[in-house]
Amino acid sequence: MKIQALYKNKVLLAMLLPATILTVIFAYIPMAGIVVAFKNYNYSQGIFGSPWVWFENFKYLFVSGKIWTLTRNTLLYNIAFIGLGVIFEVGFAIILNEINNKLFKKVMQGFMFLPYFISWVVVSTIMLNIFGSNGVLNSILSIFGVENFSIYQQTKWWPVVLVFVRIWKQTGYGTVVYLAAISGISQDMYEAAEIDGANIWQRIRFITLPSLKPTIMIMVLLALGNVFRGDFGMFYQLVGSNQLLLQSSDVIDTFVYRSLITTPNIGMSAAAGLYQSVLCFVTIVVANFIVKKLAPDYSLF
Amino acid sequence: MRKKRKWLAYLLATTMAFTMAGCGGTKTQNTGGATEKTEQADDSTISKDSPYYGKGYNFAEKEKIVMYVLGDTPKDMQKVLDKANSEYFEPNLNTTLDVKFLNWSDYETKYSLLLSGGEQVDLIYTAAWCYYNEEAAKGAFLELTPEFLENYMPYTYAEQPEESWDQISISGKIYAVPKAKALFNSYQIAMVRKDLMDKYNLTEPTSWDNLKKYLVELANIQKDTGVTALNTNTNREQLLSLYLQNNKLEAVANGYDWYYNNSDSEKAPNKEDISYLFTSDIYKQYCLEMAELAKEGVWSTDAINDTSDAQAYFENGTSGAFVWNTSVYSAGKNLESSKNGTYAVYDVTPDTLRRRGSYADDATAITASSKNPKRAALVLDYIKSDVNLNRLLLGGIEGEHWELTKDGYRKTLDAAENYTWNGWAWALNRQDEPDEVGIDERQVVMDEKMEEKEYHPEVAGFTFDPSNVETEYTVVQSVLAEYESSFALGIYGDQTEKMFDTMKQTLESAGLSKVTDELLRQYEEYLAKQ
Repeated sequence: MKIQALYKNKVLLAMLLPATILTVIFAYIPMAGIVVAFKNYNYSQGIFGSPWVWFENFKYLFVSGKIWTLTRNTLLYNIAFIGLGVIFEVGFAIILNEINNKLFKKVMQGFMFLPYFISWVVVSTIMLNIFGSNGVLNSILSIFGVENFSIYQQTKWWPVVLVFVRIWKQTGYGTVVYLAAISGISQDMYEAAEIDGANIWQRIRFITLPSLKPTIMIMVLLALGNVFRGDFGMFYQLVGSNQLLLQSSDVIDTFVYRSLITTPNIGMSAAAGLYQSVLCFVTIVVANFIVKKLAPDYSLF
Repeated sequence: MRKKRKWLAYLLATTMAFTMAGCGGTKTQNTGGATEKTEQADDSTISKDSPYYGKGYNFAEKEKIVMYVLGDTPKDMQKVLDKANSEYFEPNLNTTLDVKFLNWSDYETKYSLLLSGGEQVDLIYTAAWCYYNEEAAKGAFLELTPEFLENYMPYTYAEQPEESWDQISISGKIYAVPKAKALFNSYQIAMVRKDLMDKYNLTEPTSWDNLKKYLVELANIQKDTGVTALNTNTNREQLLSLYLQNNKLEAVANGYDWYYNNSDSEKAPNKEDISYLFTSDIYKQYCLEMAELAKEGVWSTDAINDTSDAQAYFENGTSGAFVWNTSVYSAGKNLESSKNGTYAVYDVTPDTLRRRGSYADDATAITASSKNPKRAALVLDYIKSDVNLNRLLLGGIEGEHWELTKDGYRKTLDAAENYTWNGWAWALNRQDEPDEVGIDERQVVMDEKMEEKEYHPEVAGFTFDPSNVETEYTVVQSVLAEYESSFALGIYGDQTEKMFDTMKQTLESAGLSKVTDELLRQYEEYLAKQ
């Protein structure tokens, strides 16, 4: 019976085959490489032949005494990025949707999307030239008698700065996703609501937001899958080796970079990666479990 | 059900097959150097004039050898390679050479990957600062036994300075072939702005204190000049080496942070006199002095987040000083040719003895994964032993990129911008590498002084292998990476002393003493052998 089903759907299955093969080759087979995190890797014996050291490669994460702070920082930053990100992205998507002037809408969207394409290297230079001690902001402030202000010495405010820059950079991209979801909502509902006398706020509150809920859920769940991975490009470029700022913005990825750039060790970097993966895996399984309990239709798996 | 199992079995089988194929490439056949020459000698394929003819080598197969070096590919690289292949490698070794480049911007991330990946790499540039010890410890490089060197690098083995082999050895084993000419490339000198010095009558930086005076004076007139006294940033720690030089501190192992005071003698220090730099009082004093300079505005307050290159700042006239090794002259030349100012060079620590850089500062290794290590060794030997071939690779085509004057100096020709002299072949140079003609007078004076003050510390042959304490050493390095630039640029102000204590504590709890003990243990072993 089942074999008959296989035969019956052979065309569909054949279409699925390339994707399956690619996933197996690029996602499943390399997983065997995880063992390198438990090995003292050397070139002559290769990944599978190198001697086992079990948890020796993980030790440096704990000897440093920083792993708890790093994990917490990574998690909190990502939660802030995800949470505020959703609010801004959905918000701007709704605003753009309600704007009727086509030209204005397109220009707006273009400008919002632009930062997404700027690399962090460039962003860090732009920041330095605006907020640095020789920057634009400082020249303006000096007119008002404020001397030598530099955000690069404000340890406390730096998380706010990072979240702000991140939101500025990613909002445009997310907005497009939600805008697409909004355009999929049937216009009939809006028209019916309008006839019933619903104002614009009521239409957003009772039609747009509930219709966006599945998209938001999926986007958040997907983002949670990386919640223990710091955005290395961002943190490394913006914070660099400024220890004053590192006090409040060091994440796992920047720590691993600093540890292993002078003494490269494949096993140790794999160990850090595995640590993050396991945490991410647990998070997403738990999150999905909760979603499944509360709103079974929206869960990922 | 049974069908399902069968499917699963197929899937597993394919998975296994793929996995095997995946790791097959990393297995290597070569451990240790071969000691015997190939059984069936065959040199019918090479010219009778070849220096390797009739010596019992096997040249039957035509081979391609791939060498990786650091830097950007010169424009005329292919042209030079074509000439080298057609005139030297093909007729005399039945081999072609291909040189590939790892860019400065990403060699750190690519280097290890290259060695562990499946690409063909036979020869690769390495150095104490370029992962030599780390990669050798992981078995990335072929061990070069004296017999192997004698057999497959006969000319180099005879010509190479004796001490260079000591310097490249790790616990008595050789994993790379060092360069043959060592310069004073670790000694730091200060390049300053002559035009500003004359105009504002600034202090001459003839000593460490006078250099600081010069910088502070320059910082005080920044509003007039628009020049930052020392426009520096995290990419170059410009003052630390100079400070160590001033305190006559010598590293006990090249590339590692344990130092001793040389007391103007070549004698190897006692074990008790060696200490870790970054927790020492001398370093604390440095941090305080840097905080003071930062407070005086010698560099911008957020230099720490600036990632531009400090040399460019001196060249475009926005920095009042540039402290670096003897390669500062190119910065000075660029400053003057762009009419942004004039320069003067000062030896800030005139009394300090100076050593030539270690031969191990640049070396070439044969990879453990090379399919043809013997041929690779012969190629390397040929490059290092044949003057004409060597100069062709170092500086390009004679008469096009460079020419020799009557007195044996090297003159740069116009095409040299497409192939700079020794732009990448640092590890391949020979002792008879010709000097450039018409060097700046300011450089000549400084060079003479170097030789006058040269000394040969006995520790030069000692290298450290941290693989026994890898966890601790990794954490120590990460703590250092976190704090070092911040201290160098004095960002803590009044808090410097407190932060120094914090760092010291962090380093100690990271297991610094374990690493130090290991270093001292290896040092004692080294002394015992001497």
